Amino acid sequence: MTALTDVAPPRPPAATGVTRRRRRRMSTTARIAVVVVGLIVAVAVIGPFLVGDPNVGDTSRRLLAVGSPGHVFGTDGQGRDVLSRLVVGTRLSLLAGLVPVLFAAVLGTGLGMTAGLSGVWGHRTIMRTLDVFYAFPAVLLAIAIAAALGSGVSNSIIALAVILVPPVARVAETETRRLVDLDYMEAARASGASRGSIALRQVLPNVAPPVVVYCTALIGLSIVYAAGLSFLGLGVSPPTAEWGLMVSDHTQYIYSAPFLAAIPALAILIASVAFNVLGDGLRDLLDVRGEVRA
Amino acid sequence: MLGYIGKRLAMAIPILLGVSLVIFITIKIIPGDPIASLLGPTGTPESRAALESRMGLDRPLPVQYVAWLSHTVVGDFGTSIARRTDVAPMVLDALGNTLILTAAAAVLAIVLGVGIGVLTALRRNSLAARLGNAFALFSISVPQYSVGLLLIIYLAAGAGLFPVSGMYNPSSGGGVVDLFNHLILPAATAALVPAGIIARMFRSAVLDVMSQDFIEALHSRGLSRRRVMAHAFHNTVPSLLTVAGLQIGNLLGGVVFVEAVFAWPGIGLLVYQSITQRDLPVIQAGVLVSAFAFVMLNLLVDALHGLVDPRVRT
Amino acid sequence: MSELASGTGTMVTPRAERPEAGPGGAAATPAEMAPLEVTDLRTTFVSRTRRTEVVRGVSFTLRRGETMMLLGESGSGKSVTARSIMRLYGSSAEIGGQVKLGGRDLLDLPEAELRSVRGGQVALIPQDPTGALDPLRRIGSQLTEVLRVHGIEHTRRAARARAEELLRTVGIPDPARVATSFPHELSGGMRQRAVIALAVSCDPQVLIADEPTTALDVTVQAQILELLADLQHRLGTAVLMVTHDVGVAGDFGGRIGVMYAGKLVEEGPAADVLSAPRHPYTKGLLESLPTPEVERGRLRSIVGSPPGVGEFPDGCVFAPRCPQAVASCHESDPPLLRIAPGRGAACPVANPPRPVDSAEPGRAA
Repeated sequence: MTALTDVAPPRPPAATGVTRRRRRRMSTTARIAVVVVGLIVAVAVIGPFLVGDPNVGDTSRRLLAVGSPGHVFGTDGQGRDVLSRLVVGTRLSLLAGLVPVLFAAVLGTGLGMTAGLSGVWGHRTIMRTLDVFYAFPAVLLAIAIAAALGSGVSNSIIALAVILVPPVARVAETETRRLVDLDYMEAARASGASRGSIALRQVLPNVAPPVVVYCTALIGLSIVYAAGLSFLGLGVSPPTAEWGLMVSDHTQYIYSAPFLAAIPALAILIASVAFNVLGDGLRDLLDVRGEVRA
Repeated sequence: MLGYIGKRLAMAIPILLGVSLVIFITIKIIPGDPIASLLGPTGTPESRAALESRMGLDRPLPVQYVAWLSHTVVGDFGTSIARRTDVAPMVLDALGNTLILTAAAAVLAIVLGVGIGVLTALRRNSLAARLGNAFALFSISVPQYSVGLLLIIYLAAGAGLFPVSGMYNPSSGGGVVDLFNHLILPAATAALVPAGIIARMFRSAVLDVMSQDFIEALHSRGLSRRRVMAHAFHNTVPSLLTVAGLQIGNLLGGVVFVEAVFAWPGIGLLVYQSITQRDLPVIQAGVLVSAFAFVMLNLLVDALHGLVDPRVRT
Repeated sequence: MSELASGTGTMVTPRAERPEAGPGGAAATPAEMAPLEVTDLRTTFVSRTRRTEVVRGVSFTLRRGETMMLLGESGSGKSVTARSIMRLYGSSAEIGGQVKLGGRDLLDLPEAELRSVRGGQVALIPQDPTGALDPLRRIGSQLTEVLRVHGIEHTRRAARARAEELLRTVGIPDPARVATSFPHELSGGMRQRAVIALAVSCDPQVLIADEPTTALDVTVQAQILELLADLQHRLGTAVLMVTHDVGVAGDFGGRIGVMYAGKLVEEGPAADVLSAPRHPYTKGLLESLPTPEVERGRLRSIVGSPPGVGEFPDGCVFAPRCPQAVASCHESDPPLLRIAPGRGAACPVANPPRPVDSAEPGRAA
């Protein structure tokens, strides 16, 4: 140990193998995912300005097939253009999945770090409380909370945030505890750094990468769940354009227009896969060990 | 070993208490007036007060919680607002059905997940492994509610291979074969996500064990490849248990979409229907028994874990 | 082999099927006089994108009951040399040269025969005893598995009895308890004893010990070395020990082969090599060690650092760091020169040919 600096050293190297490690980079699949995520975000931002009003429908032109002139993805049961609804719905579907993860990331990191840095009792209280939330089947808990709060996007966001906080907190806690055991934390404490300064300057920079990786992969899951809540009637209300609601809308016509329900479902799948692959890519890039556990 | 299980059991009790508290609070913050919906449009202030005191709703919250809990512990979940019948038999029936679906999906998910996990770990560059990786990647991102629908469209409605919904065919009078036919599509749908996750986890578990020193040590003692693999797979069992336990637990809740799509009369469908009817006692009881089943499942997994891995029995 | 049969009651009895150990202790065959003969061993790790030669032509002979130390820094290829002898790298490495054991070339053996050699005639004691044991199996069951696989014992009961006998042989005071223990329930020293019991369970001719004490406490290290020396003495096993620790090499005795950058640069009796090194690298290595006479802080160390794997310069690999290097050192790579009976050094500068008897070409290196 040379000097007691207050700059966190880089993470200790993992056991070195026979061959020296090459510079880490993203795989081709992960690069594609970056592009796809970028496209989805772009559609969410500027898409609504590019397509027609998603709520205007011509009932004489109901359930047009995919590839119909003027309606690339056909029309739904009320004659509304599916492409427009898909594009406009991107923003809400993305936000409904993204925002709970953001909440969970902030809250979970805070809780996890607090638990990891506090004494036996503080640690026990926080982690045992989180265990209680772990004891519910996650989706059912989200449904129950969303149901209790009533339908609406904000309530579905709260419900999802509640079920996502405990796993994020666990990731942050594990990482914090690992750091606390390392020598340089001892050094930082010995040098008289305050608890808050240790948390912000030593712990947070090291806890952030695994949490970011974990949360990126959670976005995929969260998008699927958010659309699922809408599908069950617990998210946005009609006639808002949103992917989950579109699936449930289109379900009525599965016999007359079987492809209709598949279109928004495919959108959900693509968005979710893209974020999952991005999470994997980030994990390799940042050299965070371990699989993401959903 | 018994001490280990006892300790786990003791840890489950405060968690279950916490679970009940969360459910109680969730119900209490629900906007809306359950009394009004119970009384209907004919309610008077007097009948309202009478009902409130009969249901104990005029007492302080902690007293209400203890009263509710003491009923719940003995299996008295109250009366359904929408159906005007006892909640307990309704919920327990539904839980049984959900467990059947969960068990079927779990078996499928573990078989698929382990198969794909081994394949992708040991034959890394084969075509089958690439397909397996793609399956694992896509299946964990799948929205179950729409996959279920697609299966209905193509296999049930289109090809007529399987029944579209429900658990038994009312005209044929049920039976195991009928149940099995009804079970296949929902179980396959529910198994997709956990199969993908188990495949990914098991793949890394196999790779992790294969990279451990004792594998080389076993080779150095002249054991055949088969025997070394037997040691290796034995060592993947603890992580498989952990992952599978977690995923089966998630299934307990995750099947709600599948139950809704296939009209499978389980807890998920019951809770879902009760939401639209604002039938609070049923929602409460449904979530509670699911959480109870979940905690019990975790306990079972812990016990098995202790049985398989001597290092955790401390 | 006769000392085995007449040894103490707890000793391992010889296998009947081994021809050279017939009844009455037949005279050793020539093959047994030189059980292990390694000639021009070359190990190259192959991946899809590149090939890395890590062992670059190592030759040595290990006679019955003899000890050979492979001494070198990490990355010198000493561990890879040891493992290549048992072909433990599978398809990830190409191994060239010859490894003769009892007249057979291990590098040419079919899979099934190789398996009976592994553990049967050549056994490995890995560095970390924790990693060498299956964590989910009891010690006894790991022992009986090896005994039955190699056909030493055929019934479960006999194997179990033999397992406890082996545990006692390696100095475990309560073999019955240890046999029913899981690896994590034992101390590091006990674990390494159990690993040694596994290694000697089939009475091997050659024991390869890869840094057998590095992962242990200092106090236990000496006990384990003593046990190895004792077993070697009693069983007549040849030991190939890999170590980076000059102290261990000196204590254990036998012969030393100093490795640098995948080659043997010096070879000879331990005492001679350590007291009068004849290769500049060995000299530098010994001078960099703290001794009671030299104060810490005044130690000399070798300038520079060893070449990275696969980045070997032309000529003598040590030349860039060598204080004695001359122009010719950078041109051709010197072979291991025979400089005295039983001694070799790969340095013509430090060992100029004497006018009377010119240096033998030595064994090709």
